[in-house]
Amino acid sequence: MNWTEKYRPAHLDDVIGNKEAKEKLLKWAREWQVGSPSKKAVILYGKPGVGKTSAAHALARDFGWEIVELNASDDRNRDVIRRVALTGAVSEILGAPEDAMGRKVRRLIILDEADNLYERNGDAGGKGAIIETIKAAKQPIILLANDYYGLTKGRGSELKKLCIPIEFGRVSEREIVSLLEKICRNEGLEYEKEALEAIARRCDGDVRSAINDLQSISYERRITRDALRHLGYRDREAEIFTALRIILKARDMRTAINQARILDESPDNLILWIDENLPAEYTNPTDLMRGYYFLSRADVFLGRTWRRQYYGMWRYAYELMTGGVAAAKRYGRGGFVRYSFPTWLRKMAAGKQERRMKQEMARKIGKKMHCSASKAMEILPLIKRIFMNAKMASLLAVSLELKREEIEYLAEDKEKAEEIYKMAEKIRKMNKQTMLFNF
Amino acid sequence: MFQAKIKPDFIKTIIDATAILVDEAKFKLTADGIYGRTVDPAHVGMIDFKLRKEAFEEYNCSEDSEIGIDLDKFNSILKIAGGDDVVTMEYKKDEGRLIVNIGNLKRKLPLLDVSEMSDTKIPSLEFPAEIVAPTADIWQAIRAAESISDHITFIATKDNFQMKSEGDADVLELTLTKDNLISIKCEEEVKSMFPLDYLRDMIKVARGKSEEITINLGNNYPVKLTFEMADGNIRIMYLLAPRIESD
Repeated sequence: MNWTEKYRPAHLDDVIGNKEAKEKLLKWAREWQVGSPSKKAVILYGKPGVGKTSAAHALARDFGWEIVELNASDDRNRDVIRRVALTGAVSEILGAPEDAMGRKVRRLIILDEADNLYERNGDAGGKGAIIETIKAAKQPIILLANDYYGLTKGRGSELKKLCIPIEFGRVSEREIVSLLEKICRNEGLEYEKEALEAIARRCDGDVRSAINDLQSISYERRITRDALRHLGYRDREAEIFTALRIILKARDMRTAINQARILDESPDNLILWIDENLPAEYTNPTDLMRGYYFLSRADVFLGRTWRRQYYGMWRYAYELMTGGVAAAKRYGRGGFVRYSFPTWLRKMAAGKQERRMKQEMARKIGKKMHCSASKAMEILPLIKRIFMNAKMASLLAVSLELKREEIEYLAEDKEKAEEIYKMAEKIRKMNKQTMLFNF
Repeated sequence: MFQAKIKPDFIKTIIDATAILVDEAKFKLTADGIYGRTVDPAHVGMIDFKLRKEAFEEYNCSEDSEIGIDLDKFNSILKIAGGDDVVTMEYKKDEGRLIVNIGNLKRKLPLLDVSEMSDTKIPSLEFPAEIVAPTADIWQAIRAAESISDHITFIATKDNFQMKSEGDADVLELTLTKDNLISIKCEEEVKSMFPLDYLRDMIKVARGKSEEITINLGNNYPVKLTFEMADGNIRIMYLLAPRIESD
């Protein structure tokens, strides 16, 4: 059995990460138990695998609601959405409409991949039918989407007014690791903690892919860093090195072009590899110059592809960077040449975590200071200075709702961060209590 | 091993009755007969039917099993059968198909995977009112309401059963008094509003086959429609969720 199904959270509390989003969702659902909130629908959006579908299902289970679901596998045109979602949204449930405590029992309508509907011009499209459904709805509706912008652009702009948007962000590595540990214990697997950490790091906040990765290396009953290699990162590198060798050493264009076709690597990545290793292979300056000429032409096409969003132009980029570059050399160089991993990619990957954390903090600061995230980024070093004072730091941490790892980054010292974190927790608790009293 | 002979009209009624809600359904073959229970994709309508072995010309089922049927496909075979024909059905467990014979015609009907089809539970409901009414009268009210609105309200009082439909300006009412009804049990007034399209399809199944329909009603509550044919050996029960009238 698929572990992502087996360990699908039964209750909303069991959905890891996204505390704030879950609270918003819960607040909206509670309104449905006593009446009808002004917003009939919420949009749960965010990357795949962060728990949107799980949260929707767990919510229905916690509240004892019936679920009507339209999946991406259903053919979701206007008629189907109206027949299923609209009909369901204006009718009571088939059972008793109130539970023993007198709370309304609801039919929750879940529309999976709402940003990926069958669309045709005008009224025939799926978005129009969703808007119609939400306007008429007397039952709760959850739209799930990866791309909030894609869902709410064009005809979908009305959705912005009709729905509460709730973002599901990446789940932190710490939480993913502890979930993976739980699964390992439950399955009776031996594991190296470092291996679980590596899986969590690689999945980039996507819980589903982390669980899938864990399951796919679990057949030896031991989760080790060694076993992780089977997941393909290294193999992939070797594959690219081989292909690169064939492309750069090719004597005719066709061999080089065909190799690119077999490799199945996007041209934006492939061009980095060729760019990195071209000087190692082409020692003759004229060859090298002509090689880079073709590479730059390929890059022009990548730019056009991006600007026009017309991926048909990828083929020109492919052929120029492989066939063009191969044909550019007059003096081939025999023998083994050591290739290397693209420097640019390595640097980007190394700073990824830190960059993301800084951006997230800048967003929070921007919100409080009424400025853009990029403006807030400029004052981040000043905040770092303030963090030398633990007391002020803890107050800031509370008002900016900083996470533990963010505090650690700003404090630049583990022990100090721990102290700030503890103080911040205390203040938070106190605030909560005063709020209760005021209420 | 399952083997049965039945009048085409009987099996066709069951298929039609289920097909108004879904395209595919799971049927249970047991020693006592064939049972089915399905809910439509919007979870608004439910059918629960019993086709007792006494309704068959011949019936033989040595082992319980579940089969998944593509209703459209099954119907296309049954269309061929005339009123005097007899339909023979054969099924061996794990064979993955149902063999249907009509006269000398033999059709192998591939079955669907039932493991993907969930079991449907009948919700526990308590109805304050029960009306037994002539099918023809109900059908007439539904037909008349269709030109006015897309929903209809059922109202039961101590002595009357009323069906009421309101359009923008038009109002249609059909009142059946105690004398027009076969029976009515109702302590205090209850009323619920229902989607006409579902109701029409459900009553249409009963029309011409069952003289009377039992209607169980509540206040903003699902309705239960029950009717029987073939001397009570075929029993069809529908549940339909009401429309929500206000916020």
